[in-house]
Amino acid sequence: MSDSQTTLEQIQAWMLRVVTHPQGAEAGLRATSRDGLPGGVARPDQLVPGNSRLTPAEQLQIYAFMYFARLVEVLQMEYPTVRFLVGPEQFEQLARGFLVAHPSSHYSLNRLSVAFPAYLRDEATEFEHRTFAVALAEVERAMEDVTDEQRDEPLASEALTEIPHDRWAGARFRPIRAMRLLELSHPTSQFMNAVQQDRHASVPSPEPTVVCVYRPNNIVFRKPISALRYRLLTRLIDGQSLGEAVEAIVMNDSIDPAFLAGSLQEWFRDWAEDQVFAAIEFDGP
Amino acid sequence: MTNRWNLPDLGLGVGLRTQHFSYVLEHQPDVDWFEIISENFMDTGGRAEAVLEEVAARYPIVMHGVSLSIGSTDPLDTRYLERLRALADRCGAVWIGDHLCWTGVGGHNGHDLYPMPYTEESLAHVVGRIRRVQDFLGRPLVIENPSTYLTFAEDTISEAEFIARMANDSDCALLLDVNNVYVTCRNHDLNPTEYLDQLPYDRVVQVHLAGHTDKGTHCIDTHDDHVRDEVWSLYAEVQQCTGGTATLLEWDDNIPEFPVLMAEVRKAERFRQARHEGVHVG
Repeated sequence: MSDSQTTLEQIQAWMLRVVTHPQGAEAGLRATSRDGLPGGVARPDQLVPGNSRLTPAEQLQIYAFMYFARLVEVLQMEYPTVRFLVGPEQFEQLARGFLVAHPSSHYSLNRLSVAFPAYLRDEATEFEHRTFAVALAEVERAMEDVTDEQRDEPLASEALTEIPHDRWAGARFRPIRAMRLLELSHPTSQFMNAVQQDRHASVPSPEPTVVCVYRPNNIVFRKPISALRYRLLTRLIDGQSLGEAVEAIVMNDSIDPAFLAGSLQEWFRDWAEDQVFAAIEFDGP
Repeated sequence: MTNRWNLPDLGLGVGLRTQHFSYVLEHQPDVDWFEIISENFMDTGGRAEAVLEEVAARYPIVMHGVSLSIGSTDPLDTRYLERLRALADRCGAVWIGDHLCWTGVGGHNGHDLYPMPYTEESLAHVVGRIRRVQDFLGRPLVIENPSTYLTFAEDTISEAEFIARMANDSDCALLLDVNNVYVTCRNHDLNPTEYLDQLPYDRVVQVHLAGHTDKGTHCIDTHDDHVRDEVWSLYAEVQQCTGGTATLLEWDDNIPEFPVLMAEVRKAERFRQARHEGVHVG
């Protein structure tokens, strides 16, 4: 027993700093010793004495090892395609860098890596295929998000076929909550499919792409969609009626109204099959 | 001996893990109850929630958390507690448990079960927080003894005495993790039987069994293999002391097929029967 007056708060803050040090517990002990140990003690063994088999640093290293091992594993599980792209060693470096820059503050590990795509884009030291890695990370993050999102009962496809012709323009479509639309720098689907199926995967050339990630039931889907579908869908998600959305696209994007009108039937048939809408409301009586 | 709340001996249970969702729904295995990691089901509206709803309709559910951080000096997370209570209501949890530990401080969550200094200050701190959580949840909290890999120079109370006093002063229930008793005693040169002798068994409502890894210089609570013989021996002692308590097998890494898990937990049955028959099982 020591004679020091270390409060519980001080000892917890000290231990967490030691066991989350990026270079491990030894480095954590050096850093905290340099800055002054809690309770004014002179040596770490006055806080954690160790035993005949393990020094204080070795005991603390058990927790330090588990800290990064556990959290890096979470990132590996959530971003398998990014890991495949950059390789396991580079991925571990990126994951560790992320954990140091963005230590977890939430009780759930599900929230740990929310900022990982932005970290890869804005903060990580330059690495090969960075832009494509960001695109993959955004898709994988969205897949995690929709996995846990609240489930809505999707609209039956008959609900669309039963809409009277004269009411389509005033129809407002509420999407299921478990859906994300992503604007990406690269196409991602072929690469992700190849990795998933253990086939050879080539890094694609950059090309603006939109991907819809959605979970109508218990399975998560990801599907590339055209830029025009994306523009309409985002306006519908924002609460515009179909008539308002179509008018805005024709006005702002110089789209041939006849072409757009001709495409709508196919698009809505696809969206009905994909079960991305949860409800329809109509303007007027 | 029954526990002081007359909480039921649920029999033999296993953890409900994602890898076994399909098997459990399809086969409705002959297991008495399931334990869930609370945090894995608190914030999801996805498949996990749907599976839990189905499983809870058929089996008793016990909630076991890893993020309450009852020993932390950070304020209690009210949002977390609200989610915990809502989940318990949704799945009809028989009881709610967590660990004697802290998981972070200063707003930084380390997502690990860090050891408490065993001092009078710590004891008063933990007792006060358990009382507040119990008031919030409206039921006794079930606190599990941890596996620890270090001790603090300031410790003035043994872990077993700390747990006994904590339980008595806060009026909480206990989850006795027999593997953790073994691991902690090995790591700190303690006698596990003496440890067990100090516990208030009328407060023990659940027992955990698990595998661990023996590194020679120390043991790690890895939950990745079969229960070791030395832990089964301690389990036999515990059965005599409790008179039969809900028992759960934890297996969280290298998770085997569900039938392997079931075969392992059924090994506990012979110790439970031996307790009824008053015979020694080695």
